[in-house]
Order: sequence, then structure tokens, then C-alpha cells
Amino acid sequence: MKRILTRPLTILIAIVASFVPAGVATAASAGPIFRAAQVVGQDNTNTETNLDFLFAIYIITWAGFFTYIFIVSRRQRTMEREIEGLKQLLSQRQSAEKG
Amino acid sequence: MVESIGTKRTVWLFATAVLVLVTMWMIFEWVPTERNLGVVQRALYVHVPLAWISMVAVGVVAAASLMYLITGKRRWDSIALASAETGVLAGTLMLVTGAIWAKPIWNVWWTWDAKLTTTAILWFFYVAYLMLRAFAPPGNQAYRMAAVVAVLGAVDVPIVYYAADLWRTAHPELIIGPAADSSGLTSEMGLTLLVSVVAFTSLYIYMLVDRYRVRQSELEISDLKREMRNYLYAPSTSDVPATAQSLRAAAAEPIGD
Repeated sequence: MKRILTRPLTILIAIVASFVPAGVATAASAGPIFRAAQVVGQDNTNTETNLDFLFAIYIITWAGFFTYIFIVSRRQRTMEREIEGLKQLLSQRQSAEKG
Repeated sequence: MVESIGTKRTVWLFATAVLVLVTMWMIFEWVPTERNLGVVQRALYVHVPLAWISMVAVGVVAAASLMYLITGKRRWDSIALASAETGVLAGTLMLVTGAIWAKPIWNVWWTWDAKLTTTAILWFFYVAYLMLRAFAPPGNQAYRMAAVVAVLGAVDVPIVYYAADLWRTAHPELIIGPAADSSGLTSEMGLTLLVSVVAFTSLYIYMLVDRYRVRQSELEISDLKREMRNYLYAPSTSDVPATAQSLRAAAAEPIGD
């Protein structure tokens, strides 16, 4: 259990999950983005029109980082298993030779 | 020892996660919206830190490659590789986020502006570095060639940094680093950018250490396999005919001038 909790992927999933209530809370309380949109709206500029671009920027950035960290941590686990196997095999051969 | 490093890494990742959350709160809840660019200006707090860590990564690759060329120690090469991979990731994300940001502001995804072009050249340099390492026959020769590419690529860093000052570009002026003019940012914007830069730098360090560990494991595996091969297939001295033994001894002797 402790092993699962300390895995980088678990921590990253926890980070992503924690964004959900924050996002809901922000939307519900009409946070500064929306308030600012109203303020700037007085200057005939609709700031909300580019929200999809902003969304894409943040999604791509975090997806890129999470995918990379996931791939690296999985590769590390595979390597650790392979090292362990090779060490065992080598020590078995050496002890068989001596025996 | 390994346990202790693992715990430190977890603590570091946890601290980074908290920092990232604080940054996200500041970006979406606290910092005011820029009046002219509107909501999409919030891309700044990701785009600039990505540019920052890609430049730091390039600096680390160049320094580690130089140390590898001087000392020949594998440790430096591993650091260079880890930083190059992380830097290419950050550089790719920087170019992609820049293109997405450019579309609503400049009405084009890409323009052959001095800043953008020199950044693309830098990105290609480090992609070439990774490709050279991936496709050249493994060995010190390939690693040395890659190290030379890395050092040469670093020459482009000051050109990228000062491009907006040296040429007339569509790209905004510098707001981070030694020649920065951040007067266009309010104090909240400046603070948010600073916190974001710290968070991304922390993430870069975590990824660098993680990738470095993988590289060390790869080297350990190749050493173990070599040891295994030598152990299994090397004929014992008694099995080798005398002629072959003498040939081996001759081959082992250094060649004179």
C-alpha cells in the first residue's frame, strides 16, 4: 500500500484529481477570469473568446509532463526488475561453478 | 541509501506538486486579466517558464557534455542525456504553447520571426543530439560526437535570448533573465510568473534526477550483461592452444611508433 502511495504516478493522479474541485469552485464563484471578462467587456473586448486556446495550452503542457514522467518511472521499474534478475542469474552461475 | 534517495525524491515531488497547485491557483484565481490580450495572456505563466527550463536544460547539457569531453567520465554523459531529453520535452511544449498562443494574438500559428526561428534551430540541435545517441552505434565515439553537437548547440542560446533586441520581431520583449524589462507586468503578474518559474524549475530537477537514474540503470544492465557474457563464453586458459595464446599476448601489446 505504501509502495503504491509513494509511486510518482499515484501522486500525479492525485494532483490532477485535485484540480477538479478547484475548477468547479472557481467556475461556481465566477472567479477573476469571469469578473475580469466583465470589466474588459466594458471596453468592447470579449476576453472569453480565447478560453479554448488557453485550455489547450494547459492541457497539452500537463499531458506532456505527466506522460513523460509516467514513461520514465515505468522504464525505471522495468530496469530494476531486470537488474535484480541478472544479479540473481550471475550469482547462481558463480555458486554452481564453485560447487 | 537507495531507500533514502527514493524518499527524498518522493518528498521533492510532493513539494513540487504543492507548488504547482499554488501556481495554478494564482494563475486562475488571483492574478488579474491583462486588459489588451484578455484571458489568453494567462498562457504567459506556462510559456515563459517552459522557455526558462528549456534554456536551463540546454545550459546543463552543454556544461555536462564539456565535462564529459574533458574527463571522459560516464556520469557527465548521463547528466547530459537526462537534461537533453527533459530540455527537448520542455522545448517542444514551449513551441507548441507558443503556436497556440500566437493564433488568437497574431492570427497565425507560426511566423519565421527571428526569435521563433532561432528557437526552432536550437530545438533541432537537441533533437539531433538525441537522434545521434539513439541511432549511432553505442560507444564512447557516438557519445563524444553527441557531446560536441551539444556544446555547439549552446552557442544558439544567447542568440535566442537576445533575438528580440537584435532584430525587429513580433515576439514580445524579454521579461525574464539578465536583460529583462518586466515593467509591462503588474506586481501580481510578476509574482505569479516568479512562482511559476520556481515550480517548473522544481519539476525540471525532479525529471532530470529521474531520467538520470534510468540512465544509470541502463548502464548497470549493460555492465552486468557484459560480465555475464565474459563469464559464460570466455574460454579458460587451459583450453586455448599455445599459438592462439601467443597471438592474444601479441595483440595485447601496445603498438610502437
